[in-house]
Amino acid sequence: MPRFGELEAAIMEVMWSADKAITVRDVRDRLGREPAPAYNTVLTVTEILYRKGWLAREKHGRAFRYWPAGSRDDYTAQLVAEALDSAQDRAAALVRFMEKMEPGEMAEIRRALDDAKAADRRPR
Amino acid sequence: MIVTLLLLGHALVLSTAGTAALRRAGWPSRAPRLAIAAWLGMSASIVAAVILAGLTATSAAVRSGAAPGRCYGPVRWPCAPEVFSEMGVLAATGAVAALALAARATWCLIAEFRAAARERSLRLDALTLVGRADARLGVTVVDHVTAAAYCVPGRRARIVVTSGALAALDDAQLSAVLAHERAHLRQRHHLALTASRSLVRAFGPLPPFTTARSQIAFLAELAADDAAAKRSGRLTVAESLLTLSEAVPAGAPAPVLAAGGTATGARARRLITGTRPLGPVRTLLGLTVTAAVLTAPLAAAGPVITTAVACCGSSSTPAHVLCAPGCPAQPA
Repeated sequence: MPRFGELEAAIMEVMWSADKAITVRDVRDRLGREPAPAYNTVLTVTEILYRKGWLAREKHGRAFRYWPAGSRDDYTAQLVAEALDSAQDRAAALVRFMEKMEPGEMAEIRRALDDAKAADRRPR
Repeated sequence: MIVTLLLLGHALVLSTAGTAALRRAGWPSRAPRLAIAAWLGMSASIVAAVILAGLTATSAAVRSGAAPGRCYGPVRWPCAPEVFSEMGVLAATGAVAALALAARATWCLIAEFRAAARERSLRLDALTLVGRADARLGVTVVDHVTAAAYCVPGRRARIVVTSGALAALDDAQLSAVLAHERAHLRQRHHLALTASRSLVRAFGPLPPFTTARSQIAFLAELAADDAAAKRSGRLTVAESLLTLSEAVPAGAPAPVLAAGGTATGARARRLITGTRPLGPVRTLLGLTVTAAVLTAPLAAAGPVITTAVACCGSSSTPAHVLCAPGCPAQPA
């Protein structure tokens, strides 16, 4: 039994590679899992993804058709932007290993680092 | 009453002179973890002192406003002062202020930790969907050109590295970066940060709390740098800092924390120069002072409050049994 998050990820994978809106039945077929997960499981997880805002949907006849609310790149960009924005970062707060330095400051520190490395290498 | 004023003075001195002194001190750079404890201890001491000032004001008012004999035997609260007398107003004000402050601090602490957990869980959901696990490095890789590395703390803690960072860093630098992030997780820096944020949330942008927040964020980076330096060598850590900083796209916000440059610059310079860790004697001294600052308000307020409670608060015990000398509750 795969973990819940893995099935979510697999369904998003299917959605991102689909070229049009698809039904839950299509998703289940395209998951390519042997044995295929139960229809109800796929339905539940797809609806969770919809509620979390990852998927959009529209009713066609009796069934909903789903498509991704944003591209994978959109989400990745958003994720990285959030992580780099320390002002509103509550989740990790210490996330940024980094911030941009002025070229002058950067050059000065580079020089200091090179000097220190040279001093380290010099035999004592 | 004197104790109330002392407690308020304690809070005021810590908020102004104490905050300024700790920010200017040189030793935090040599003992960042001790300094984090000092900032947290000072913040907690300020809040505790103000709350206890309210309670001691109530205690003092209850005692001095009590008519002889009124505190005797089973009593209802407020037992002693006339409700509309000056002392009654003071007693009520002190109690209400103390309870309101304590409630607000507690509420915001809980709210901030819950908000942090919620945000982490959203972040982890997104990571599960767009990231891929790298079993060899033990990290989650996100495909993005911006070089960045960060950790998502908590029970399902993870370290996240962008593909841009993997491309920019060589093996030695990468292991330095990972050691840095693992130190954040191991030393649970997020708890100190969330606690310091909750005080800003509770009491607004007051200098002692905002300073504590930004200083703790910076000191957590220093502590993680030290752990990484122990593993990878300080020059390698400095180099990885510069590499990642160079790879950050222009226009990204660069808050100036340290004098004369960015916080990253200050960290790099510190790694290049090298720091001598604080010796055991001074570390012990620092811990002692922190503990003293933290317990002083309680030690000062404790006797005043317990005396008042003993005099007037007990409804099941005849008050004269517990009454301290000077309590106006002795029956005539």
